Amino acid sequence: MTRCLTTGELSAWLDHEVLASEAGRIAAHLSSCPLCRRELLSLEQGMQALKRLPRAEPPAWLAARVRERIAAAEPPPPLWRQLWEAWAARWAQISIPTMVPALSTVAVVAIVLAGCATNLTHNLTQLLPWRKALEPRFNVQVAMGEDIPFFNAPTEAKVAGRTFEFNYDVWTEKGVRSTNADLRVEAQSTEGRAILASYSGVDILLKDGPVLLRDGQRRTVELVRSL
Amino acid sequence: MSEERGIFPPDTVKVTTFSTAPSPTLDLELVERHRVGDLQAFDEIYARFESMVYNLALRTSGNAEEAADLTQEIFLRVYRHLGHFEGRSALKTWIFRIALNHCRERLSRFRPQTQPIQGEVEEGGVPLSDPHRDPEELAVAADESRRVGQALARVPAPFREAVILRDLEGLSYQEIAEALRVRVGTVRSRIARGRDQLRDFLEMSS
Repeated sequence: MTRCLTTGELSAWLDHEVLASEAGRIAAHLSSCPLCRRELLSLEQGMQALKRLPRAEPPAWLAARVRERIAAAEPPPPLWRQLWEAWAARWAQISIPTMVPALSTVAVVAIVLAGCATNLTHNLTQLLPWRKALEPRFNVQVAMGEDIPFFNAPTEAKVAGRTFEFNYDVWTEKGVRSTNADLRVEAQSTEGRAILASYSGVDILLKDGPVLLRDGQRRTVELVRSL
Repeated sequence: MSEERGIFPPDTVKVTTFSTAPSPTLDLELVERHRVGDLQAFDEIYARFESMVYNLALRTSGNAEEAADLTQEIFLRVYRHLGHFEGRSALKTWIFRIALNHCRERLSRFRPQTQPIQGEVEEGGVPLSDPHRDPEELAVAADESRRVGQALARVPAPFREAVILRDLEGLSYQEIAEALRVRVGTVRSRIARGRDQLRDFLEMSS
């Protein structure tokens, strides 16, 4: 009789996942070894017990909740698009021959105004001593990697002097261990708003997902966007 | 989002005609439809995989409420990244991978590494009714399910994941290897060790 079979071989045998070259030897051994047959049977019983577990039916409200969360996560269309759609809807009601002279006039006026506005803005920002106030308060640099979650893309953001890394769906501050959140705070709660006020710029990251950071009391906080 | 966008069928009616069997053509077609803005494509994906994802989350977390939360987050992630799916694996495997990664990440942050041992695992969702079984039989079956669920929860996570994917979700070794991003030999070994430990825990509890 050949050597007894390992649990790995028996388990793979039950799944019909043994190599063709192994199959003959395993079958021959099983037919001659009561110990291995008993081992196979007990493994199979555990497997069958597992397969008999009833499948749970997801709660009926779950789909609606997912729909709400997807809707909440999607940013509203930009203002220019909303204006454009409103204009398009209005113009669609007007017949084409009447639109041509009006459109031409609007186009000429828009070009002239755009030229003036560009010049004026340029001159103002160059001349005004307080133009620095027009500049953003912080600088966000994001280096996007391959945007597939399980590839753990190397994505990094620098926000107001703090570095965050995007790991799956979580922005984690460099140096903070992602497995140890001391508390979870909703951005719209009192505590969440206080954190956002103290760490200017973090709200930008929240659009992508939760943010793990170390707060003033050296706690690791997971800041989540409110629904 | 306006009502006609419809991420899911109205009134959350379950569509049970979709199959989760791997079909690369159908997968890519659905993803392509999603990319070009076909709002029904995600509905179909959700209907195909909702039960699978929910049950995986339930078995991983051992808690119905947490499983519902996890399912929401997993589908949110799937929605965000679906446009980047390239068809290098089946959509089912891709979603399993996202689901497993998310469960691991989320549960490791908010729960202790060890799983509940006794009396803490609850069966989630609506139990399947069976008009052919009397209450006593159903109670015995429920006890048995609880016992098996508790034994499964004691199996260490890497082995438990492999056993769940094989015995509860019916994935092949190759599919599990893709979902877990390990070699087929590792899958084989993890399943064997998981079953071995499950059997031991079941024997101890009987």
